[in-house]
Amino acid sequence: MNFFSRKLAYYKLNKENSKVNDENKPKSLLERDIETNITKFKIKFNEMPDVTVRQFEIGNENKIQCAIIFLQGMVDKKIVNESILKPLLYDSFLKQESQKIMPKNINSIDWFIKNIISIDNVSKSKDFDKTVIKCLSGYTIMLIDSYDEAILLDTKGWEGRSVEEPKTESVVRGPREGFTESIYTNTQLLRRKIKNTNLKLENMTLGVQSNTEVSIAYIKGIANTDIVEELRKRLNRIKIDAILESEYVEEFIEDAPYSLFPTVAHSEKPDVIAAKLLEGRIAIFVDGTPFVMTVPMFFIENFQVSEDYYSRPYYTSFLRILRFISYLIALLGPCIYVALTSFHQELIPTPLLITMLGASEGTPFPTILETLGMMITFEILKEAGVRLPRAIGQAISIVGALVIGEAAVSAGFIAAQLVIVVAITAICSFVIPEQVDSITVLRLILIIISGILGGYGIIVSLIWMYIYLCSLRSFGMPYMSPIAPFNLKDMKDFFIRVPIWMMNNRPKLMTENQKKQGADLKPSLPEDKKNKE
Amino acid sequence: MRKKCILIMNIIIFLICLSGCWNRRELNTLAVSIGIAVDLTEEREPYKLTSQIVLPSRTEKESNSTKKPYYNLMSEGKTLFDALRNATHESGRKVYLPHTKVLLIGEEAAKRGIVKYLDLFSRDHETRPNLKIIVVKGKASEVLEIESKIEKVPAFSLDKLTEMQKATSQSTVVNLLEFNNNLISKTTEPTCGVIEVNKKNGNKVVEMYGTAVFKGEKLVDYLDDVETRGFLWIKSDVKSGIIVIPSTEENEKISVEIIKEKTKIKTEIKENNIEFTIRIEGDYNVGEFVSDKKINNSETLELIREGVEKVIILEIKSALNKAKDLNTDIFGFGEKVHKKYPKEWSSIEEQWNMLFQDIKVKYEFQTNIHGAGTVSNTAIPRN
Repeated sequence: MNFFSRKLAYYKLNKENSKVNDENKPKSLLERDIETNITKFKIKFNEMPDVTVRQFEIGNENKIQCAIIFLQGMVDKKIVNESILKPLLYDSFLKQESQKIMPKNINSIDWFIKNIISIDNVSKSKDFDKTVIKCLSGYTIMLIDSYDEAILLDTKGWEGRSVEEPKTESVVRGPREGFTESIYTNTQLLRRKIKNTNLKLENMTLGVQSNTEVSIAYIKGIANTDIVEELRKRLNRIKIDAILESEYVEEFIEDAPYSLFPTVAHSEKPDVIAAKLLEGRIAIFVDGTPFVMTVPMFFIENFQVSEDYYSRPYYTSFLRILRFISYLIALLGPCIYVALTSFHQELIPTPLLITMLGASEGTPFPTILETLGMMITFEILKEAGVRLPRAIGQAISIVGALVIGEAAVSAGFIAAQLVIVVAITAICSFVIPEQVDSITVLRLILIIISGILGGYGIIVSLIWMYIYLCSLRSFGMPYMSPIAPFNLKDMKDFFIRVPIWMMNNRPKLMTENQKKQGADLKPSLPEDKKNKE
Repeated sequence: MRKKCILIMNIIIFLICLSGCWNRRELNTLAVSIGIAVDLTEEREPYKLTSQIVLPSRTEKESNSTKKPYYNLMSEGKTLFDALRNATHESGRKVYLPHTKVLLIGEEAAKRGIVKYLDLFSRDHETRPNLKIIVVKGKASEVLEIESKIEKVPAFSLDKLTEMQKATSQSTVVNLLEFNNNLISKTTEPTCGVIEVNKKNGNKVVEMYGTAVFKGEKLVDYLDDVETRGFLWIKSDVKSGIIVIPSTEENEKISVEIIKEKTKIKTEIKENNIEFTIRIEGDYNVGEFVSDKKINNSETLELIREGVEKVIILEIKSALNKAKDLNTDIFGFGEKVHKKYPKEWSSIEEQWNMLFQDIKVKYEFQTNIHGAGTVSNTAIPRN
């Protein structure tokens, strides 16, 4: 763990600096007088028409002034009415008739919690600011006269998307549910996958303005405690206005903030997150986005798909290799084309060269410009297709196909083979969705390099890229593991995926607790039948 | 960070400055040569070079038109390289050599000595060592004019022609590398393929058979098709071919196809005699067997086997005799002796030419007749 301390020294420094501001703030507390408190809230919630303050009295002889404060739309009104107002106004009154329950002098706020309010999650607070934040996140605040404490009632309930199949990670075989925008639904989806008390969740609130809820999830006993601690530190460092998506958090906790390659993985599927937790990784849930992040991330995770483990190993292994090939094509396709056509024509088979010669006869631009232009055109089309409304998006693809495919070639602007190269590259780059952004940028750089230096430039860039990838770390873990450092045991889930009964170990670097399952799990015939043979 | 930046900048600068061939050319600035013919002329500039340039068609429509898909770029010069560059007086594009498939050398030029034609192609970084060398009986440039009915570009048709010669094993195909290796060798004489322009039905056609035999760098004679196969048997270079067994009886026709062949040569020096044992292990298929005999009995098979061996011996003998007549060790026997008896070789080397005339050859065979076809009896009328 030496690299840990070295690598992250400056994080710690930063953290100490930021601590200072926090401590000096005076805490604002609640008063005993309910009217003062209500005014205080009303001032705080000034110009917020969606805040409802409902004042009422309970009791018959010695009436007690009460108030509940909540945000319209953030709370489930049915709960507020049925479980808070009804017992307080109606049931407590009834019970008082029989002189059994409501004592004359209620000496503690706990009496309400214990006897009347029928809500599961209830807490108390004296801190005014805390109650305000709770109110903003869907709690109902109950104030009772002559007590300087507020009761926080969990009445969260708002309109949200239901659990649907995620758009980004669809599968043929395997669970189809995906995370939603609600962090509570998301953690609950994860709990349903791992029914174990060792699955720990830690909540925190990040974002000075947005007060977004963030939780980290890990399995105690499997996850590396050093990494959990490191993640906690990095998350606590974040002093940001608002967190609207998990990327806001991601960019604060990366090891290599300037890197082209993502060092934090994300997924929309509970089964994927569960599998990663079981390998010893740590998940970060951010409220308001269906994307859940996991750290540390290895490069190989880009090529692993949940369905790999839900279909036969042979087919999966074939697909894995196919993905590696696609990655290379997506990265190198156009630049190899540029290098071949402008430097190494001798490497093209003669009949192909002649076809290509014919096609590039009379084209006005040098190959590198042609290729760059086409690649950029493709990126524009892609971007337009994503941004535009669905209905218009189709028109874009038709125009794009026409422009790229037909018109440019028949007008003699570009060589016909370039269209094939661009098309194959485009298709291949969609095979590894996690790396699309890094591929897109790298590819353009590589095209320029290969246009200047040819195949030599490609080789040098690839070596440089490989060295860089090997030096990259995610939460201190080498990004290229298990290739560098090499580990034969972890190769069982790399180029090929061995049968599940053979994968007995968790990734070596990830966790101390490596043994996943027994070693002798290969299915075989029952003993008595074996003897007969 | 700053140090790193400087380092990276340095690396990039070095990359650009120190990299080898910085030579960017667009596809449409190349004149891709497929075949090259060299001839000797009696004029002021004696080297005449014809390179066949492909003219690719941009569209489908164009490719169906009657326009020739090639152009023969002719140029002359004081040397071959000079002639090659002189071509730019006519063409706006530089002749691009890497895709050259065949190098045709005129008979006249080959007789005067071939080395000065080959050096450019061996030395230049653009050409490939697997460039095929063919001697043309007559003028080499003429061959590049004759369009085959099957291939549109003559040089391509020549390339395909050399590829297909393994079907008969009656002509030698040699590339630049092999030719140079033999040229360097002290005893082995180089050989190469031969093409000839013949007239068939009033059309000029290019045919390839036989072998051109060199002595040193000079062309001396040709082997015919039978001698060539004999030569290839010894070189263990027979890939396929038909062996026709001369019939003893009337009505009987047997032809056998060579499937696979391997020749091992054992060298021995016995009482000042150099003896080679040629062991030919081959698999054969019966292709034709016109006879009233049944093929599927051991006697018939034995007959075929003997016939095959006789033909092979005949072919080898004719090749040997021809080589002895020309006094050229094209088989590489000298090399074999050198390898087996390195000590004795120094005394043999000087008089190898003489000793070659007296070498003795023994034959051993392992002949496997594998297939007899799908019928056992010939379909002939029975009386």
